[in-house]
Amino acid sequence: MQAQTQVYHLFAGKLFALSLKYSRNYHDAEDVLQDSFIIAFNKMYQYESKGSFEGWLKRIVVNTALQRYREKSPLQLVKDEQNIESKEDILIDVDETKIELNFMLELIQQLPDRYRLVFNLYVLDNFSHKEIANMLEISEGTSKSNLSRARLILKRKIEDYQQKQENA
Amino acid sequence: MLENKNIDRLFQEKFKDMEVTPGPEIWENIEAKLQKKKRRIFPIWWLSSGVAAMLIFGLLLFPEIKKIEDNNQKDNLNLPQKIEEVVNTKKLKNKDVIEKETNQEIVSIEKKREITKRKKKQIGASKKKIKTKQILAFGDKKTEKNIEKGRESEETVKGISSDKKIVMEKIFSNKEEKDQSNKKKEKGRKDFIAELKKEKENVKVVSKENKWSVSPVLGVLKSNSFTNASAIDAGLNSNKTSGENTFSYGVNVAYKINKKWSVQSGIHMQKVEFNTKNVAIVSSVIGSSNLTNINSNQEYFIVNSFENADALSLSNSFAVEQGSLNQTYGYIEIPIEMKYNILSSSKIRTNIIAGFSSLFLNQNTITAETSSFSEVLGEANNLNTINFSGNFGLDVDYSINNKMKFNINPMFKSHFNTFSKNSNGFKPYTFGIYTGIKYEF
Repeated sequence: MQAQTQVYHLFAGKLFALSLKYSRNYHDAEDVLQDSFIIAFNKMYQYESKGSFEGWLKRIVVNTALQRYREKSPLQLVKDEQNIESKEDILIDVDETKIELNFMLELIQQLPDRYRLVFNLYVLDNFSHKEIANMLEISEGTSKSNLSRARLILKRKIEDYQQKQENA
Repeated sequence: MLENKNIDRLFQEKFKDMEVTPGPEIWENIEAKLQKKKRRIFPIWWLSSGVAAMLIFGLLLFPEIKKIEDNNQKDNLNLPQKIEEVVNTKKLKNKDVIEKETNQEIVSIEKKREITKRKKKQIGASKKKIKTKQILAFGDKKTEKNIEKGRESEETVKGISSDKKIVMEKIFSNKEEKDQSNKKKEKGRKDFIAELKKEKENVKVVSKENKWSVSPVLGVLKSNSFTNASAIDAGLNSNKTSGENTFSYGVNVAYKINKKWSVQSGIHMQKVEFNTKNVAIVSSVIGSSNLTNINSNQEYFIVNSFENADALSLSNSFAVEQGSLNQTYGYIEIPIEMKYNILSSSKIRTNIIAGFSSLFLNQNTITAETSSFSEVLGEANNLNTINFSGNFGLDVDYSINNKMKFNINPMFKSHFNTFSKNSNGFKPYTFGIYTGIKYEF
């Protein structure tokens, strides 16, 4: 138990941040974190010291989150939009000092489940569209179009927010 | 200042190195779930089969284990350094985390303020509504009912403003709580590090403190022979010779070499007793004593059975009694044994013991016993004054407190060099259960 307590305290901060980004809300993120640690401690023997231990733990958190939301959204299979033009470079005029981390986290959490997962995997965790397609059981095209949708939503929301702040 | 920026970059930079500490209940939940799984009952037969396997292989593998252990020790030398490194990196990390966390806390508190602002606005709006209602009501002035309504709404206005107060109070107290919990968290982290350090020190102290142990021990011995024979005379080989229960007492001294190995010595008084049954003792003198392995100052005659005494027609002219021959000998025992730890929990430590004892003869009698008399016939002349035994057994310590342990120790000892001559194939061994209170220092 001692060793496990230490592992938990060493990594809980980073992993909770990760699970917050992948989850719909704070409560879900807590569930994901909790499940991830239990899986990690029970499968500790499966960890081969090939990659970093932290990387292994992160992978478990991501998988746990994916499992939670992948299954919950059967309707999105129908909503596949293949033919959306996918722009890599979406630019935004932004004053970073006026945008808080919590606000940005909320923006991500408010994205539809799959947009959020794709955005996280591609932008924040450097997975390729091919890998994402595999993980989420969607096509690469869907992954790309989900990503640009997510970007556009985020852009619009940040712009709205800035507009409001200027007006206020 | 506005800046044209790639949206991916914006998020990457903001979320880089983000850390959020989850509430303490998360770890409590995890701990509870893990412990549920862990609390399986340890099957007792695992222990017994494990011990059996150790008994068989223990002696064979003895030199190999020692080699491995030596290597392990070399590896262990680096451990304290590693621990220190971990603690240092942790310290650094924790500082960062604390700073970040406080920043985040501030952020969330500011957010709360915004919410209260919004709430204020809402309250303001509802006030306005109520006022218009009031005006309407007074404007009518037709029925008293309306006036009452107005009063009611006035009261609700008051109610709302007091609600507002409560909300504000709550928010402020919340803020204070957050500050406090923040401080607590910081404290908790410091405590954790301090504990780590303490543990490290404790490990050192413990290993320094409890190297030596002394225990007075008392054992119950049961002796027996691997073969059915009599060490007194070959003629009595067909009689049943069995060991009696005897006692052993003494002091053990042990020195802990490392976590797994200890060496143990001491001094014990050991008594061994064998009983040869169903002999016919002819109490009158018919000639010189007839047993080969006894030095005696008495005349007697022993026949291996009552029937044979009859057949020799001894019973007619002499007093013949059926009885037994009791051979007792004792040693001062000095054991040298190695102990290897196989199982250890916070309360119980189990070791296997192997080694040998030097035995110095200090007691030697043979007694004839019948229902009517018991008489010392003399002493055995074939016992070596120095004997050796090979020892093997288990050693279980139960911690009473830091210094004291209750010890129980079943031991098997096979004697190698009991007889100088005419042993008639008699190979004695003893099985003993020793108990004692161990004092560590």
